[in-house]
Amino acid sequence: METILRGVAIYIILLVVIRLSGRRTLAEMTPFDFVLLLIIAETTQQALLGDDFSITNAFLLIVTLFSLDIALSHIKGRRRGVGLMLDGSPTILVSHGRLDEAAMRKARVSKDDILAAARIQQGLVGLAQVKYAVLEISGEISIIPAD
Amino acid sequence: MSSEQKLEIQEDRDFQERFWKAERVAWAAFGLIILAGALGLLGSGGLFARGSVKAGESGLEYPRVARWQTGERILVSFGPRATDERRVLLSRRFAESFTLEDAQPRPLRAETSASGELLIFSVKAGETGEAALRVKPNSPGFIQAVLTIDDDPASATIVVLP
Repeated sequence: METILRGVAIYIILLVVIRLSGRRTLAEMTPFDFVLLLIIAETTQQALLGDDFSITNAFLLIVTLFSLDIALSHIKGRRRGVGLMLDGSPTILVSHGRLDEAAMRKARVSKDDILAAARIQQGLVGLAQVKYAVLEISGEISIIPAD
Repeated sequence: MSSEQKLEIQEDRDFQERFWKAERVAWAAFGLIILAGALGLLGSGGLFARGSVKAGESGLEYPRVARWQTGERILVSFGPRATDERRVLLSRRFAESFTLEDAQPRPLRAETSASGELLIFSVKAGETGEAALRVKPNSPGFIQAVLTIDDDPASATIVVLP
């Protein structure tokens, strides 16, 4: 019972904190972000397992976490409001080469981030070649080049 | 007629604007949580982490906020007395809520009774002394800890966080 409660509590805490910290917090994956992710994993491990390092405990915990994830994905699929709350919606940052600076500021995306995504994904050299830039719910920026 | 293709996207800007505001509120809350942690309101050290209560000439220093399954120290200070055997009675509720892991110095003996667990320490007659109890909370919640030092009860409320 305690294992399931621990799993549910940690799942909800991580979901809320990661969601509220913004899409861009862990999406960029700089080397430091990667280390940060490892530290978070290490920190939650103790709270998840407690003093019980048995295979049964680990198994129960894994099943609990996966079940929660499956259940949430079902709920998100059926109720758009829940999906919006948990994942957000894509945000258009550039439309026909024009920057939406208010959205960029709020989403913590810089012009350099958009240009970097344009170079990496499409080999574009400047903003004039970008038709749309969209901040996806994963936190990545997708680029649609101008015709 | 324009032949330009429209971007098919389910953007909900109104929701996103509201969520960005919620994010800012959450960041302020993160700051408050860190501040509370630094002040000791979430346990494990800090300005307000420990409290003290008098029991006659003796006293008790205890954690105001403890964490579930995490060791904490309760310091019992003995005032001077004519006898060299000093008694600390851990109430039944206290003994149920905390596991006593260690006592420093070691008690001369320990006894259990209906009213709780009795620890008897040796302190030179007429002198003061201290004993540190290492305890671990068994469950989260509010715990009214009553320790009777010799004949004087000392009561403390300890919040045990999950």
